[in-house]
Amino acid sequence: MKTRAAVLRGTGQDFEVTEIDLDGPKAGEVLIRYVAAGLCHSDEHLRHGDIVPRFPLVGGHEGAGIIEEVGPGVTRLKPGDHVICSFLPVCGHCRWCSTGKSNLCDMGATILDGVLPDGTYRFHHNGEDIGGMCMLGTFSERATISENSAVKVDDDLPLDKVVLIGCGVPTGFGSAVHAAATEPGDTIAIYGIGGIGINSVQGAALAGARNVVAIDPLANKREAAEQFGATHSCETAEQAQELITQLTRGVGADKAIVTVGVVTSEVVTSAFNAIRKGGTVVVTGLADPAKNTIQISGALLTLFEKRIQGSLFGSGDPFHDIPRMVELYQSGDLKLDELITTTYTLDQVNQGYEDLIAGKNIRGVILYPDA
Amino acid sequence: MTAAPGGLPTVVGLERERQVLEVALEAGRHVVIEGPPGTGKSTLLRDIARSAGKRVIFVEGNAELTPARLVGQYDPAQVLARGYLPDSFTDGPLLAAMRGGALLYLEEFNRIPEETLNVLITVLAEGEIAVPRLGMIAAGADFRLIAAMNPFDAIGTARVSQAIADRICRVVLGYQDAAAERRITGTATGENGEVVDFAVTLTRATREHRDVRMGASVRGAIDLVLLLTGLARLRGEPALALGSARDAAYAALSGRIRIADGCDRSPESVIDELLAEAWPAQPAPSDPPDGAQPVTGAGDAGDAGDAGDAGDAGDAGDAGEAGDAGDGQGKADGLPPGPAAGHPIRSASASRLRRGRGQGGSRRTLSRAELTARHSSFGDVSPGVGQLDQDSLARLLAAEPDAAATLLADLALATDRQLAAVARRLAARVFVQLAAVGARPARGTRRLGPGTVREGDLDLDRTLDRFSGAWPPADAELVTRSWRAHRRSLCLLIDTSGSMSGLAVAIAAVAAAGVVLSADGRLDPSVVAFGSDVTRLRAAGSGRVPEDLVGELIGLRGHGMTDLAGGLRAAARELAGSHADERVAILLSDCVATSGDDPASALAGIDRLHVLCPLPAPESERAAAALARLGCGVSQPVRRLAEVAPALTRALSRSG
Repeated sequence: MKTRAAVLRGTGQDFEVTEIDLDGPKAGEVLIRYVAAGLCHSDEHLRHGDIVPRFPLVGGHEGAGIIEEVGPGVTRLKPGDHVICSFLPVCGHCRWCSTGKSNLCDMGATILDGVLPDGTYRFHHNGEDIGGMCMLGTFSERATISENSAVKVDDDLPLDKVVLIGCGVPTGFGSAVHAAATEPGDTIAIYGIGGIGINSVQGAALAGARNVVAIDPLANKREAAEQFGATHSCETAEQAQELITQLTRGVGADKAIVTVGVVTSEVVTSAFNAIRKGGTVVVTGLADPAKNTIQISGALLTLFEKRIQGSLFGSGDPFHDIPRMVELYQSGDLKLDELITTTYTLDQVNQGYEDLIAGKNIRGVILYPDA
Repeated sequence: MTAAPGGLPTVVGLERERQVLEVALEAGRHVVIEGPPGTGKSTLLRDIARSAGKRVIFVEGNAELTPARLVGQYDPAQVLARGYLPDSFTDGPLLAAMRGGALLYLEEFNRIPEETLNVLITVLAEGEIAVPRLGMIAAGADFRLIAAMNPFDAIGTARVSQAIADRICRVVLGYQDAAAERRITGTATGENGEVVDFAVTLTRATREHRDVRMGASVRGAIDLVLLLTGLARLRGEPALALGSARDAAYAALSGRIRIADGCDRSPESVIDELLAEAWPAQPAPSDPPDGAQPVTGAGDAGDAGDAGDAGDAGDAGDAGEAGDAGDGQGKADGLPPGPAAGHPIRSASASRLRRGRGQGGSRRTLSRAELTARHSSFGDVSPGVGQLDQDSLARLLAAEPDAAATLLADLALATDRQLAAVARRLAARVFVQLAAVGARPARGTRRLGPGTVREGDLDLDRTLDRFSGAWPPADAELVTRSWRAHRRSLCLLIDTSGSMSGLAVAIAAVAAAGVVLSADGRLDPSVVAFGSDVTRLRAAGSGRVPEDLVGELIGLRGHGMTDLAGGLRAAARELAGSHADERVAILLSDCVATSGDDPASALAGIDRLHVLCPLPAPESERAAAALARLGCGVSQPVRRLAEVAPALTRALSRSG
């Protein structure tokens, strides 16, 4: 069959919206019609060259949609099911999945090639295999994905809102709740209020932090942070350092979470200096894998027993966290509607990323017309 | 009026009613004829009077009909000159009819002020009336009173009191059947055939449409025929043309139909929809090009068997009314956002608490699974995602109104946004209608009272007391009697603490709509919700319509503590802003304060506090009674939705 999709052919290029071929589902796979796709910063990393995937690639790794067809052996889904896609597949029985760290599932190894578990591709164009970002390729009207990438949800949920639970919300929320293990009374510093950071704010507030300090140079981001539960906001890391010192009587923040667009050693150092003895810096943001973005004094690490913790998908289990966050949304505790600043059509995908770079959006979402 | 040219008797299709009426009058009974406009009330009466050879005195009932104008009065100039002499008395229509043994025909009976109607009680019961300074006047043997009223008439009307109703027979006229209406229309217009059929069909359809409270009478059909044939002549159209039909239907019908409360359609859109159905299927496509719109309408209505279903299709077709489940995401975006639409007042209170947590309860939505568990009828009312079967809900409303209202209030909070949006629109309409059919305590807020303003009837007694004898009398010596409003400001105080959900929300919504609608909206009340803090839902003088108010109210989820004293102080603040003879608060609460001061300490600025106690426990009932006693008001339990309006009426009529 054919599908219209936004294809990235190389570093520094724009997405090209074009019609490509799509194979139907093979064993363990499902055909999904996307209803909505989130514009997440990770796709911009590929375009910008911070991270280099296999090209060409259909962009988009945050999606929600409706299953149209299932391949042989699929037992978890049936046609008509509403699903939220997990940007990391979960096989359920590798070492990591079976020990409660399914965000590290071995199947995630090929998400930047966008190849399905059997080693072949479902998107093609003029005989060329095209990958799908994170094995999903949500910037496409339809895609064939592994059943391990789709979490079934209730039919009455608004897919155009809960789509954010595919990547941005659990990553930010989990960074505060799982990776930083926020406890009631904590002081939490959050560096960078974008699609991830804003959800770290929500997570930290819900987990009971006494102070949630949001740090971002843009005024609109700081205001948004206060709306989502931040108790304080600062423009620069220096101001934050001073404020945190005051708030904690010189002890320092219990945890700091780095959710800036591109992680630099500067911001990690600021976060490292802001935390107390025995505190944790959670690094959630990405950067060029070839660069060293953490440069700190090893002696301080040793003497103050500080910890630096990486976090992928909020260090949670997607098949547990995604349904839980849906329930938090229904109970009114987790805000999603307010996160979405602008919606776009598939053809406006490049505009969407321009707005993201310009800092206009908390979150942008592509909506697909009804089939 | 269906009176044909030449005064021919044209009472069509009302034989049985006519017989009842004739017998009743012959037996010396007084009668009220009830029926919508254009059902032949006047025609029937004139016809009976003519055949019986009786004189008829007509009186048009309205709010300005004072007792003096009905009974008669002394001529002020003669009284001032010569004193009270029977010769100086000018008989009003009532005395004229009584003395002359005539038929007194009171039109628009339920628009007449109660004080004036009370004059009739002894006339109806004893056949006599005592007129001050004139004496007892007995009615002639043939005197009969015939009243006519339109029960649909909501504006400026009130219920006829039991004292009157108990002394009078009631004959109800419905609309004639289609054949009779065709005959009436044909006779009145001199036309026949297709154009009459079409006009009568379309006119009758307006009475059945679900969005219409009151449809057009046969007069609409008559005007439609006259306009349509006239337009066809002027435009030189040989056959019925859709363009002309629409022009004529707009002119003849749009002003005659009343859209149901809470429905924001225009009469024109209803007419367009009905036109598409009533339009005779014609082989020749003689439609002008602007027939496009009704053609689409026809497509919508095509698979809809009856008028009720067609209402559905019309809703979906309306701009901004994408209630239909079949419509998808694209359209749904045009709708107001489902949960917690950021109303200015609400968002203000949200930003006061900078932290989102702890407020989760105020944003909670209900999944289909939860709704299924709570309501046994949920599956029938909403068979699928985004669907709301209005017929099923209507059946439930008829059978178990409280269960239906509880369901509807919960549906408004569904996670399913399409369902919630439809439920909210519907709930606003249903709750406002429930409040509107309840009693309208228009009475009691206006009294005839003496004054020196230069309007109304001259109060002779009081003027004579002041009269110095110098002619002409000075301005200051003239005392008039006119309707004086007892100025009262009202605040409804709704407790939204604790587990306010379902039926309690529905009760609050009906009460809120009820106070706004009461006394024809003249009370202009403020409405305040409180729990641990206070949200003003409606300011006095804001003109916020009940639908809008109810829409916000059903979005409120109960949570938190009850600060009764804080709520009462907020009510006092709302009331302080108005000039009034009496400041009244109606409190809808279980009256069990869980935070704040003693409510008894917060009654300053409230002259009268009435309490409605929803779904009361014995403890609440005691607390409510005690608080109402302190507030010089009454306390009433409200256990069912149907008890809301009577309780409000009782509370409002206690004042003043």
